[in-house]
Amino acid sequence: MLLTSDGTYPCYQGGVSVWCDQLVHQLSAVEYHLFAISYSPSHPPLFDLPPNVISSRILPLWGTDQPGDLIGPEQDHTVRIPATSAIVRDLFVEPFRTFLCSLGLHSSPESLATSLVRLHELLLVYDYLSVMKSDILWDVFCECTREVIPDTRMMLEDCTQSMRWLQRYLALLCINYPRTDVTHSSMSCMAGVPGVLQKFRYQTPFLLSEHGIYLRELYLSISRMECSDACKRFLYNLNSSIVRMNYHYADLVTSLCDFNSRWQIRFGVDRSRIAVIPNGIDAERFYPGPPRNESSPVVLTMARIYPLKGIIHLIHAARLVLNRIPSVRFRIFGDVADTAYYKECSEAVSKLGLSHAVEFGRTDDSARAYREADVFCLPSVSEAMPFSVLEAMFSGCPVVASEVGGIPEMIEGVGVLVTPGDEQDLASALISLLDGEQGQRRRHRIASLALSRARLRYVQGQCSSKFEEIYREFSARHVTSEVSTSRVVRRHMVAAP
Amino acid sequence: MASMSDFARVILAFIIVYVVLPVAAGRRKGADESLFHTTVRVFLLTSAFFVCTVSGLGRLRLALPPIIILTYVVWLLGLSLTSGRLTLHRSGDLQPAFRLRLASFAAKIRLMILSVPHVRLFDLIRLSPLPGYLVLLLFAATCQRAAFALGNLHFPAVDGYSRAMSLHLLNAGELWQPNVSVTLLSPVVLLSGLTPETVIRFVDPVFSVCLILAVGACVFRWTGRLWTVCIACSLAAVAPLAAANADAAASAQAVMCGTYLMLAFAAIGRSSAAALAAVAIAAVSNPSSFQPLAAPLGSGFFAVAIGKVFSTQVRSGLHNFIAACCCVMCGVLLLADVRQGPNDGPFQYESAARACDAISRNFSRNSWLVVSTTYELPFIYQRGWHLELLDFVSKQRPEDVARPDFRFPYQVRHLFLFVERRPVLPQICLNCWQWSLNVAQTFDPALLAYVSPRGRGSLSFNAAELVAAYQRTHDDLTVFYSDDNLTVYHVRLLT
Amino acid sequence: MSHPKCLHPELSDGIWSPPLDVADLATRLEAEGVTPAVARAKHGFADVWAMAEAWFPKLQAVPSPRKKDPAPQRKWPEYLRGMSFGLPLLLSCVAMLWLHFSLWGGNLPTETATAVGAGSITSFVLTGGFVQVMARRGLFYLGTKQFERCWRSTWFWVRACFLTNLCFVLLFTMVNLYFGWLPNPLGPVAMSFCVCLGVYWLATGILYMLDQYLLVSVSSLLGISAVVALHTAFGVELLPAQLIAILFASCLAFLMAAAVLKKRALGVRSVQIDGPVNRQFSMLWPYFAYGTLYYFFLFSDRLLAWTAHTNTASLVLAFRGEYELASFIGLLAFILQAGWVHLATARFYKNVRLNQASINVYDRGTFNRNMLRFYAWQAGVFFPAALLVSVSIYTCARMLHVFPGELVDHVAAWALAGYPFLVFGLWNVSLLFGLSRSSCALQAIASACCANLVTGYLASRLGGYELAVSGFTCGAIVFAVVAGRHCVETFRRLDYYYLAAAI
Repeated sequence: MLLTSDGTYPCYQGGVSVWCDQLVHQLSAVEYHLFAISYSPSHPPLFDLPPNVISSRILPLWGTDQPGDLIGPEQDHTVRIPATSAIVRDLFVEPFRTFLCSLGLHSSPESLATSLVRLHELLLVYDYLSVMKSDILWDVFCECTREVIPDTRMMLEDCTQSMRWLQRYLALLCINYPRTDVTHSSMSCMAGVPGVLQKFRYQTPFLLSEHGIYLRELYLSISRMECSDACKRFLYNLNSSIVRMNYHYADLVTSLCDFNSRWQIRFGVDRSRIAVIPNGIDAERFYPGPPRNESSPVVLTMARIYPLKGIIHLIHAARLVLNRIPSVRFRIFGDVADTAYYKECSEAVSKLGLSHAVEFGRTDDSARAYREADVFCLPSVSEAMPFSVLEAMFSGCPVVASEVGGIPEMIEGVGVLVTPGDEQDLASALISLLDGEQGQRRRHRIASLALSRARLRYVQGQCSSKFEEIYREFSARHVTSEVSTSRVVRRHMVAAP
Repeated sequence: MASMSDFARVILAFIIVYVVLPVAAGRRKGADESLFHTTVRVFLLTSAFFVCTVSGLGRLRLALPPIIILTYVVWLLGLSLTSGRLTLHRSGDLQPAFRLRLASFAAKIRLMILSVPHVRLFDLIRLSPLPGYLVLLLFAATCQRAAFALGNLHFPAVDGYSRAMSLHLLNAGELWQPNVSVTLLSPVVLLSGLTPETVIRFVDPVFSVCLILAVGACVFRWTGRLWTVCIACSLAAVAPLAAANADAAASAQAVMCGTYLMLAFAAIGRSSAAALAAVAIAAVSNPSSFQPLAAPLGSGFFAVAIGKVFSTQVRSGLHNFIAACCCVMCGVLLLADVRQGPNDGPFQYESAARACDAISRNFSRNSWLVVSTTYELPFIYQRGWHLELLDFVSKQRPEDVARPDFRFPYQVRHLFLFVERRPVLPQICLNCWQWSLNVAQTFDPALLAYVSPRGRGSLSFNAAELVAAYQRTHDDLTVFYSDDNLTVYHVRLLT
Repeated sequence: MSHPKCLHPELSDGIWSPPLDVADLATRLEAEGVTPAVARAKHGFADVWAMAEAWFPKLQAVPSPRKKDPAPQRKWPEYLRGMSFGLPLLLSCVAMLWLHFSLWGGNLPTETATAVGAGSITSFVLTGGFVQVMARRGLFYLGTKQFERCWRSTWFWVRACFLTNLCFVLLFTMVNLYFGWLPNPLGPVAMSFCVCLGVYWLATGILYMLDQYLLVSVSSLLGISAVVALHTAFGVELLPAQLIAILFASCLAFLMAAAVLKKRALGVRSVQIDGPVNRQFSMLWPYFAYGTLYYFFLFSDRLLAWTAHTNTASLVLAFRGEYELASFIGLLAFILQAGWVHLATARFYKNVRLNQASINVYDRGTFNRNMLRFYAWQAGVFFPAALLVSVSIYTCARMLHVFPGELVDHVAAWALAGYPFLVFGLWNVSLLFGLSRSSCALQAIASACCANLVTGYLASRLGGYELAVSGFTCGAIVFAVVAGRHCVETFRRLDYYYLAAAI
């Protein structure tokens, strides 16, 4: 398997990383080649790779000296031929122009894929930097901006910024991906490009697994970016075209929940090519603890600190809860992903006089943290299928969570759903579970219901065994015929010194 | 020991400048030229290059070390370009090409190191012992030729003094006496780090051995047989022993001329440019007499002749035996003729030259003044000051120097007076007047006083008188060096 | 629930832009908690998508909030910042005039001064390349907030330079034994100053890289104080006192640099993972070569003067005090003129940003022409001002009878004539480096070195030693011309080179 990821496994923590780690550990009979896109060379692998991971390549898109610099023990040492102006003009201009024109919203995924494959074939022969540094390609880029973003006026600054982004992103095309039976991408954007390339080269089946919906997250991040509208439009067109191409060429698109699959259908995936495979949890690690009879009940939140997790709403709700039940304690465990947001939350805690009751921190033993909590609360404003909710369910911790994403599918009837961003609603839900004996009884009832459901639907082995089935099926129908190298490239390879 | 290391430095510098670097640069890539022919070719071309360039720069008084080094580097680059070792085309991206070149260079070095244990140095000798005998012959010849230079600092001929001074003046950017050997030796002085007079002292033996090698090279070129080379080299090596009383000056120039002539013959048919260059150098070296060349050239032609005639008619085993015997006998003769030890005269005592050398080493530069004959000048030039004994004696009077308040009017810290107790007399004087005139024409006519026995004795006497008068009233005069022939007095002037 | 902020730009906190499409607006609504139930119950739409489709046309027409204009650039602080590199030099000169010695140098015998001078010049030439490379890498890591990596990289180059210095000392000692250029104890004196000053330049180089100009002056001042204490109070010989003080100042500078870097790196995780070594080398060697050649260019006229006509001197090298005095006067002008480089470079980047933001992509020719005009204007403003500075300094020096003789007068005049061109060349080179055209900068300095050496050598050998300064002036003019030519060529396609600079 070629397993690809983008900004997650193995360099970053998060739900997708945990999912990938579970997959490679559970399916020990499967040999994996790992290809990971990271955002900085300063983030080394955080996960121990099992022996069935044969090779690992990490491509940092930013923070390196030059685009295309790999890190890790298996750097690509192939010497590529430096591209002269004549070579760029004769070989690269046409596919590059086609690629740019395919980034328009109404263009076809096929033309995009064909141009990417052509560029990939050429970049396996010619040096990436000498091609992308060429002024000829820059001129082509400038000429084609009208096709890329027709309705937006692009200034030279926007064009420069956009081309710089492109030079970094297209470094994907100069990697010589290993030939495998299946390509499995854990995200639908840049991480899916190798899947399309391998499909063209070796007819390798392409499996695409989405956890969040990449385009949704893209919209949110673009809206917060401090750059011009033209740059935002370019970035959106580039990413959405790639995503649509990946959707088009994936043999199967797996989703964590129905909520996500609705978005995938809306973005053009055929319903017959979607399979919902929810996440699984290791039941041996996450299990209920002994009943708690603490005088200070604990509300636990396990989430990274950034705006989509709604921590600020929890803090405001905590004030309301403490007004009613002063002995409640709130524990918010997670890495700070947005320092400005963290600062806002800390200031809110101080301002509302909650310093004695609200604690921020991290834990290395999340299973124990769940067992030591009375209620698990996830006040996110946007989610897919969060691991933390499943872990809480397995740990016998009753869940209060926002009604967003796939959460209703997980806890409807066995947890408490609240309106996202509604602090009053959230506070009422928490009070109903924490207040007196009635609250305690309610907690125990919904916790046991949630535990039963979790053990039925979300056990780790079920998730990985479904993927194993898919791998087998794809491998069986894989036709290993190599796409022949085009005549033009072969001629140039012979003629080059 | 110091002499031996200086000799080694001169040989090393000569080989590096004229053989190693040019061969490395000029070895043609992919061509079938043997190392022998390449060495002959680049040696001749480099010699011609230096003769032309240094002469030209000398005329402009720009034969200064950095310029000579720069022109040499340009020459090596030129050789590399013409031989194909260096190319000037640009590659689009240096990075992959650089890495490939580095890897290839590292692989070559690794291969060289790994192959050292497998190189059996004596294989060649085992297969054919002649190269070993030849090496021994050359060693014996080197010992015999260099014996005088190793044991003496001074020169046996006036040619040595004039060439040493020319070399000093050339390297200092001053007016100099044009001479082919001086132009050839300018880069050797730079690389060896030695003084010009030391280089001149040792280069004559080096060229003598080069003549033997040149004869061998010529014979090898025309016969291709090692045994004829051994015979030719043996005869060329012992030839000067028969002419023991030959004029040493004439010999040095003749040796150089002969060397290049033989190499010209060796280069004919292989490289016309190199052959022409060699002939041109031989022509401008201008020996006064070709008599010393007769024996070496004759032995070369003789060896070629017997090689051509007897190569097929006599068994190869017999050839090798005869050649080996020749080498051994000639080697023994040469070693028997090695004359060690100092040998005074004819222009200077050995002790005078050594005293100058000691002063140069022990006192800081340009802080001292030597009063002596002209022959000490090459040993102190650019290290200290010199005043002619003639001028000193003519400007001072005993009654003046005897005054207690008298101070020598020289702005230096130390004054050294060279007073010969017994004047140096020329040991070889076939025709004293003719010889004196020759010297005067070569050197400075005004210094005729130094070369006549009466004049030299008179100068020494006057100098001794002045010293005695000074010593009577001053206590800052000491004896720096003294023996039966020479006394060197030391006066501390400025503190 | 209040109205979603994404539908009301006036309620947002300033970071709002029109939605890209209906899906974007639907995502924003969901992110603010508008579920299908909320859309139905509170807003009267069938679901979130219907709500997005209804609102999208209205919001698409709303313009993005205008970006705040950047604060206007203040000229004098930038100029003074550019000049601040000369502060340690100024301290050194004051110490020399007042105490008759400084952190290095003083009233020494000619031979000792020669050895110290040779050691100082060698230290500059040996460390120049390493400091350039160290700064280049360091600034890259600082810019990408990889502070720990910055520290590791800096420390690597410091060690590499120190080892190189030691190897050079060893090599020089062997060569000196062979050729006998500097007799004992001058050879060891020269090499001691070479090593110690090399360490000092490295330490101060790190502080310059971190923009800590004041700390450089502090270390210099403390070093001079240490010399005073050791030599005057404790009676230590001047040369050992200076060597100890230089090492002391270096340690201080290293400690201050480490403290600044550690403070910046607090809380930022990063590790040592480097790209391919050959790629680094092929990127960095032009900077290394430039750094070495630049200092070689600055000091080669001195070396030529010190080695000219030394037949009657006690060493092959002879320190020329008058030549040094004249060079120092020229250096004063250099300090005043060099402040302009920093200012002009900052203005260049500001102009590039403004022009790029206001010119359409199809009008790149206008951008390039505008920047060429900017370049010409800067050059046109600089040269008269610089020449005025040089003339003023020369006139003041004459009026104050600073010149003890005609020789110093002539040398100072030549040097003052050359420094404006050097500074202009430096500005061009800083632009070329900023635009990653390092090979052009290298060509300029290499040409300047050749011109300097050839002209200075011939002039000093055919004429007097003081004519070596003509090589410096000629080299500075060549530097300005070659660097300027490359700059003009770059500006003609600045749109492309500005893009390529970030690769």
